[in-house]
Amino acid sequence: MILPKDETPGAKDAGVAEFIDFMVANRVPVSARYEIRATQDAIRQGEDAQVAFVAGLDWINSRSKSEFGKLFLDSTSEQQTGLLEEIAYKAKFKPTTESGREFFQLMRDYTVVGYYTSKIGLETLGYPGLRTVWPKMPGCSHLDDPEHLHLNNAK
Amino acid sequence: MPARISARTFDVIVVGTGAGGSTALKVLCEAGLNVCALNSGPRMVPEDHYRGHRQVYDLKYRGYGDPLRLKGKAHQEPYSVEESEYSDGKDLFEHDIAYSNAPGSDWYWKRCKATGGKANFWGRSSARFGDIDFKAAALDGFGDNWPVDYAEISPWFSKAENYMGVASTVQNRPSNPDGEYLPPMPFRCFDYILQKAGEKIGVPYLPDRCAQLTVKHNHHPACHYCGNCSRGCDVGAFFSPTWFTIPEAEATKKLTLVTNALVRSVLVNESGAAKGVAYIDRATKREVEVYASVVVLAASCVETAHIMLNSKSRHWPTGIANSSGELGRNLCDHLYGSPGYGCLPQLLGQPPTPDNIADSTVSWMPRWQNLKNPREEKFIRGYSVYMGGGCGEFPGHYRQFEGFGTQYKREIQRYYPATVGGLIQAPSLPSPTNYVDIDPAKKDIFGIPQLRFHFQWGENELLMWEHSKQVMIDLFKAAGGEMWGADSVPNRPGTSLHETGVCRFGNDPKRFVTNKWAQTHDVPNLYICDASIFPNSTDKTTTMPIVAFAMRTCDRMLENFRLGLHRRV
Repeated sequence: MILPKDETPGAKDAGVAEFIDFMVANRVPVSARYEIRATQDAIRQGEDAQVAFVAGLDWINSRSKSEFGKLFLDSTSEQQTGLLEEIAYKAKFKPTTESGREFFQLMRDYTVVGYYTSKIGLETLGYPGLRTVWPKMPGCSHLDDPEHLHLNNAK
Repeated sequence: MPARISARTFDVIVVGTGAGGSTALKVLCEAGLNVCALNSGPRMVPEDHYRGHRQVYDLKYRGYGDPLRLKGKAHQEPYSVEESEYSDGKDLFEHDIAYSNAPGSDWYWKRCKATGGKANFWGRSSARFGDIDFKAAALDGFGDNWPVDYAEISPWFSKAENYMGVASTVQNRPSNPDGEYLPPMPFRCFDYILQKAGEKIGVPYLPDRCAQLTVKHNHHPACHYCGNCSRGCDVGAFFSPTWFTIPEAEATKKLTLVTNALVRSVLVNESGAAKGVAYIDRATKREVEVYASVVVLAASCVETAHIMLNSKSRHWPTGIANSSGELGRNLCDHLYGSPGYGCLPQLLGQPPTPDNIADSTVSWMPRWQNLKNPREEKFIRGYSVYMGGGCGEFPGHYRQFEGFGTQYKREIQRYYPATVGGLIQAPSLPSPTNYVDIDPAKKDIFGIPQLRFHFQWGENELLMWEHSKQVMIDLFKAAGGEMWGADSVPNRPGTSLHETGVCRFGNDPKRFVTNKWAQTHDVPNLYICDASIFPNSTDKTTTMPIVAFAMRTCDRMLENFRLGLHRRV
C-alpha cells in the first residue's frame, strides 16, 4: 500500500516483502535511529527493529479489530487505507496513535529502501547509473534557458 | 631479537603507499634508487576489491553490509562511504588497531590500509593553494606564514596536475590560482540555476578542479561515467596510486613492496640519525627491522606523527625529531556538514538526468570571503562550498513528504531531478588544544602504544559554519528554490579525511618539525611526504598538493644524494 503498483511496478513486484523479512531477520539496521559505533550497536538496533515490527503489526491488528472487528489484512481496502491515513498524515492524526505513527515511519523506511535498492525500483525511477558506460557526460541540454524558467513541467 | 628482512640495505625506505608515499616511490625508483615500500595492509586488487559495475541490488545486504562483519575486532566502527559492502570481507580497512579519544574529543579516524590507501577512493577535488593561503598570517596576523610562496610551488603544482590530469576551467579567482587543465565536466541543469542565483547574491559558482580524466591522458583512458568512482575506478580514469604511481614504480624493478607491514618506529644509529624502521609483520606477528640511508614517512598525517612519537630513544626521548616539541601538535581538519539542502521547483517532473554519472564535485563555490580585506567577516580566512544534487543512486528525499500510496510514489519521482544540497569545506585554525599524543594507558593488539586525539572545533570555523547556513538560505531564495533544512551540527572531526599539521614545516627548528623541504630539522635523513607538513588547512583539499609537495621533496632528496649528504648503498 505504501508504494503500490500503478502505471509502474509496486513494492510487491520488487520483492520488498522478502527484503523486509531478510533485513529484519538478519538485524540489518536499515532505518538508523542512532549512530553505530560498534557491532553491539548494530545488533541492538537490529533487535529494536525486530521488536518494533512485531509490536507494530500487533498494534495495527488490534486497532483494526477495535475499529472494524477484523484483523488488518481481513479488512476492506477502504478500511485499511483509512487506518493508515490516521498514522501517515498529520492532518488526520488521532490521539493515542503515537506508537502506530512510529511504526508507520519504520515500515515506510524499510519499504522505500527495499523498493529503490531493487532493480525494478531503480528502473522505475530511471536511475541513470543503471547504464555503466557513457561516451561523455551530457550535462544540461537547456543552454538557451540557464535559469530553467521555461521547462514543460506538466506532469 | 627482531628478524631482518634480508642482508640488503636500501637507499630509501618509504612508509605508506598513498598519494604521498606512492609519489615518492615513483620519483625515487625512476631516479634509480633502490627503494623499500612498507604498507600496513594487503595489496589492493581493483578487480577483486573495487565496486566495478555491480549495482546495489547485486549485494546481499543492499549496501548495508552484514551487521556482524566487524564482531570481535579491536575497532568496530564502520567507515561511512569509503568502506562499503562492495569490499566486505576483504580486510582493506583498519579495524585491528584501535585509537583513543581524549574526554570531550570525538575524532573519526577512517583508515584504508590496503596499498594506495584512501587515494583509491578519494573525491578528486584538486585546487591549487595560493599566496592567500601561504601568506595568510601576514594578511590577518594569525599564526605563521608557510615557508614557501606561490612562485616557488607553482611549477610543482603544474607537474602534479600534468601527471594526474585535472579537469577545470581558467577562472581568474584571487583565492584560486589557475592551473593546467583538461576539458571541464559540463554543468548540469541545477548548476546553471544555482550559478545564476549565485550571481544575484555575489557568490561565485564555478566548475571545480577535478582530477578525473575527461579525455585520455598519459596512457590512462578517459572516464566512462559509470558513477562508481568513490568505490574505486575499474579502469584507472582518475589518479590513484593503484593505477598510476605504484605500477610505474614497480616497472623500474627498483621497488621492494612489503605488504601487511605495520610500522612501529623509526630506528636510529648511535648519533641519532635514522637507520631504518621496525615493523610488525601482521602474518607472523613478528617484529622485523629493515635498514636504509634515508627514511620517508608518508603514513597518512596523524599516523606519521604516531610512528614518530613512538620512536623514542636516548637521543629523542619524546619522539624522533621532536626537539621543537611541536610533533603531533597543530592538528587541523576541514569542518564538513551540509549547511543547506532542498529542491529547485523549476526541475520538478523533468525526466531523469544523468547528473551523477561522474560521481564528482562538478561544481563548487570557491572561497569568496575576506578577499578584499582579510578581516571583513567575523571570521578570518575563508571556506568553500561544494554543490551536489540531481538524480542519484537513492531518492533520499522520500523523507520530505508525508503519506503513502500512488500520490506519494509520484512525488518521489517528480522531485527526483530537482533536489540539491551543499557541503561546506571550512578550515579549522591551529589551536594549542588540538593535537595527537600517545595514550599513556592503552596499547594495540601488537603492543604498540595507541594514538590519542584531542580535538574540538574552534570559534573561527564555527562562525564559518553559521555564515554558510545563511548563504544557503540566500542562495535558495535567489534560485526560487525550496529549502528543506540543514545539518543541525557539523560532521564529526575527521570526516573530511583532510587532516593536516602534526609535523608542520617552517624555517625555525625551535618551532617547526620539518624544514621547507619536508625534511625534519633534527634528523636530516628523515623526510615526510604527506599532509602532516601543512601547518594549517585551507579552503582547498589536500591530495593534489600532497602529490606536488612529495615530488618537490623527493627532488630535493635526490639532490642531497648527488651532493653526498645521503649515501647510496
